[in-house]
Amino acid sequence: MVYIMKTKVEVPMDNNTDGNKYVIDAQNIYKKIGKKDVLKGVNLLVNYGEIHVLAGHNGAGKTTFFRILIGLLRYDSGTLRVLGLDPYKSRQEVSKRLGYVPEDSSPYERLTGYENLKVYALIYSDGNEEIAERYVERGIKISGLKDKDLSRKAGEYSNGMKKRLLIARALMHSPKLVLLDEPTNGLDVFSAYNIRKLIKSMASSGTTFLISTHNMSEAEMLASKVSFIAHGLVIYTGSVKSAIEEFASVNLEEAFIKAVGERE
Amino acid sequence: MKSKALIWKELLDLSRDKRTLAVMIIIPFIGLPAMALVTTGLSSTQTTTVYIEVLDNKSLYIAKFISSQVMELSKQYGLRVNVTISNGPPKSIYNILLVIPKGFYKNITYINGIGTLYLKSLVGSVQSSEVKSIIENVIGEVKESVVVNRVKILANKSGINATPYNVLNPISISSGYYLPSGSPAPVSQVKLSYTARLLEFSLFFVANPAIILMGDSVLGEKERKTIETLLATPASKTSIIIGKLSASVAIGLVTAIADSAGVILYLSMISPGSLKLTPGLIGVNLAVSALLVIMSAAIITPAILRSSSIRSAQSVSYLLMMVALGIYFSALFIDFQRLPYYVQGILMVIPFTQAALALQNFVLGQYVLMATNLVIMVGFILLGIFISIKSFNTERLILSK
Ligand SMILES: Nc1ncnc2c1ncn2[C@@H]1O[C@H](COP(=O)(O)OP(=O)(O)O)[C@@H](O)[C@H]1O
Ligand SMILES: [Mg+2]
Repeated sequence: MVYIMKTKVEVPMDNNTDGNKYVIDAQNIYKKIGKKDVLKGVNLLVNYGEIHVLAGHNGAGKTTFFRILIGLLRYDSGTLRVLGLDPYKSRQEVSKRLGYVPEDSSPYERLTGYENLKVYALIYSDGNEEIAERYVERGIKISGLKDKDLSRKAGEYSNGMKKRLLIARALMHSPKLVLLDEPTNGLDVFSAYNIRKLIKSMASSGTTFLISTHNMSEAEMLASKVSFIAHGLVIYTGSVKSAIEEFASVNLEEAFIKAVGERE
Repeated sequence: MKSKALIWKELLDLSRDKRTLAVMIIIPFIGLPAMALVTTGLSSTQTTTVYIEVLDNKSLYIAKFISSQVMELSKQYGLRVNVTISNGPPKSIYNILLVIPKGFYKNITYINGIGTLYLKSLVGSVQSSEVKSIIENVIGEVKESVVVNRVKILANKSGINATPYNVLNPISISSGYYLPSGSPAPVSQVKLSYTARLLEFSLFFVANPAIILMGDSVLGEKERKTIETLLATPASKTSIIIGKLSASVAIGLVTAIADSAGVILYLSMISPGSLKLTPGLIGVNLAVSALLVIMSAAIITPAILRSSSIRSAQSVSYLLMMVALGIYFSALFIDFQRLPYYVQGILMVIPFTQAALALQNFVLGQYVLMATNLVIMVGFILLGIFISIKSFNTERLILSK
């Protein structure tokens, strides 16, 4: 009897990028909801390690685009790669390496903060208690919530605490890419400040962020790269500095207004 | 196993909703027996009034006989009756009027005569119809004694040796029950069969909680804004559905047992002595209930996944519950096996029918048919889960308003 050992050929690969050039590579994405053309050919490239801010007015299509990026909505046409895969076809595979905090979402309010982390940790670890426990520990650190708060029901939390819990839950399994849809919307100045600080510190350890906002000063504070989205189209991508220079403006807000104005 | 994490979450979540759980378990368990107490209690306090107007002096003793017999029989049936005898018309409203006209005694004692009694009852009273039938029975007794006398006279005159009772009852009936297999069935079997029918009715209460819980579990995630993050995790559609089904079924089972206990308690209060429970029937009822809980949750899921809100899911759920009610209520009165084939065919494709048939077939000793019913229920469960997974559309779930 001869056993043939099948050996895998190890291809040297950048560990951080899984061999992909971009974390997100979206070309010409169209999406209709009902009768409305919500996305009209969106192009977006997101590099590894960026804090990429998608800045745009309300109704520009940010949330719809995010939902397409995580595979919740189907896109009508275009090509899309998120972490090297088509998210609509490989939702589960992509989601293992992705964290997402929707604009309008809530933790399980009848569960404690700890239980909220534990449920998702068990999902991400595929039921492995040991790994789940590690994720929970990481989540607790990221959330900055005290033990006393973690044993309270999440329904009793302030908005800021809920958001921290959701972000911690989306980050505890060390995803490569994190999508935050309007993360500081509706938060008071302290909570918003803390969340931005958290994002920056996570990004410095190599996590890629795509963050949407309609608040241009927030975009200015966070972005290593910014994209303007207006009426279903990405109309500009570059650094904050180059955006301000390109549109001869004093700040990002003015640059955005001018960028949209040029289009119309 | 991602389903394990999801089941754990669902159970935690549902168990924290103490009020809903309490309502689901306690209302049928306490509510139905309480209803029995109230209805039996109330009906035993209401009094039926009877007025006997005697226009024939010689018939007074007949009126007194009827009065005392009616009082005694009514007492046995737990009815309150008040009888008034007088020789003039009533001065107020009575539930029942009995008039013994002039010449009545003469007519019934004459061998070829007919005495007429006038029996009238007030429209729209439930209890007076029961008392009226008691009065008719007592009159029947009077009639029999008159006939016996007439037979005696005729026998004497003709010199024939005849026993009046035999003359009046030339045919005697010896009745009994038998099983579909042909073997005779004891009376206990009849009680068992009756109990099974009532259990079939109680299946309606068994099916409900899981249906409601499943709707809340799926659309609650949407309304409480937790669904989008869940769908962005590696949890598969299958594990999400299995997680929710398992939790709804687990809690549905607990409430189902409480509910059927409540129904049995209720029925044994309103018709004591006519029920019989055996370990076999209890076992089969538990198995049928468990399958029914799972089946109800499984078949409502595709509809729930197409609903946009808890409220719209509830209206579909009510529709399904009405179907269940229709089946299980008619199970009280209808032998499904005796219906025309095309009606049976229609009923068979309604999943709920199988659960009722399983119980009917068990008490009739038709175990192969019973097993078939259970297997078909498993089939409906698998079909429900299959369609649910196929029709789980994240886009519809997220965007529908
Ligand atoms: N569920 C929906 N049904 C109908 N239209 C929708 C729905 N969701 C979004 N839209 C439309 O898509 C457009 C973009 O919405 P959205 O992606 O939420 O924008 P943003 O997040 O930038 O504010 C809006 O104009 C809205 O009318
Ligand atoms: Mg939005």
